[in-house]
Amino acid sequence: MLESKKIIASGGGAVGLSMFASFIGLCCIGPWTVALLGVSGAVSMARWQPFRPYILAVAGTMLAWAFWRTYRLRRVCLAEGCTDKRPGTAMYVSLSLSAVLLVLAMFAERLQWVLVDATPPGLR
Amino acid sequence: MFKSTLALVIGASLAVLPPLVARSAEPSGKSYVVLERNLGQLRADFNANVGKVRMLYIVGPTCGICLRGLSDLQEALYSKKGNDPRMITYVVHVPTLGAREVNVAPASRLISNAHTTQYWEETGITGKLMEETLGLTDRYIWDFYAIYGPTAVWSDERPPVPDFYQHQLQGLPPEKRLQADAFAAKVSEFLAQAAAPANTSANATRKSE
Repeated sequence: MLESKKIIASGGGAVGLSMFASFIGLCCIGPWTVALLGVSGAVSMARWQPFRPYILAVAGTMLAWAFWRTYRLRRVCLAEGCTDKRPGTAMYVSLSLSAVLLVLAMFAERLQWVLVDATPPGLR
Repeated sequence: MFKSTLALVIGASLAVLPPLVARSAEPSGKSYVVLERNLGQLRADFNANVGKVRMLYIVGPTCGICLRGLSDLQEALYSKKGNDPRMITYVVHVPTLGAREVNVAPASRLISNAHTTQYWEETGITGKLMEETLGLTDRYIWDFYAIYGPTAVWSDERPPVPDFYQHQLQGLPPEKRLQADAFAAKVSEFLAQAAAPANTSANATRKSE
């Protein structure tokens, strides 16, 4: 497997896991989980809650690896010339966006209570 | 970029597919009682069962964490204790997170027990009154699971102080977070204080229909 493909796979995996962790963390931001997935689906989603830190840790590791390999490949290309395709701007932008997504996923659970007041409207 | 998108789609599918499979297995409906703002029906039902162990749950029918709490209690408590007539449960659904009455029936299926009554209380005052009962301020109470011993009586506008409670809220004592097994063990302790099971319980069977 080419180095760039490994980096893309790792970065893409981190994005997928971050999205998944965000889904879990944002389960209570409104009635969307029950509307989309039904009661059983919402329960299943909530059962993933204890695994969020582990999912985020795996995503973070994958993203860190992707960053490290990207910058390493760049250095190799500068020093020795490239046998592989040199990482382009799109790669750096994608990884940066993935990092932003990961950070948002980390705070998703707390963020929802800043955005949403659970008190029924008539009692606020 | 294409592969990142592909990985993203796979990750999202992992999140969505298992629940969709589970959704198709949901059983059919169950009735609930609509409460007035004064909670008169709930208070009457509560006091009609003095001498029994009563559980009062305040939940949002669209809150995944609440629904998981109910599901955990079904597994740890109701599926093991069966339909013990000394154990009476009141589940009050309140309009948190945009919940509406239409959400109550599906959520009420999570607990299958002959002595459980589901309520819809559309103002959410139940949580506010429980907040006052617990002496809290500015902390709306929901996702809350209380046990009352056999001697508890609801004599005030507010519900009585629970003999034991657990919750899944931010800002309440973390050592009281809902643990279904511990909750079930506590119910067993209270049941030991209650009278031996009777053969009939008209009030409870009414609710199961």
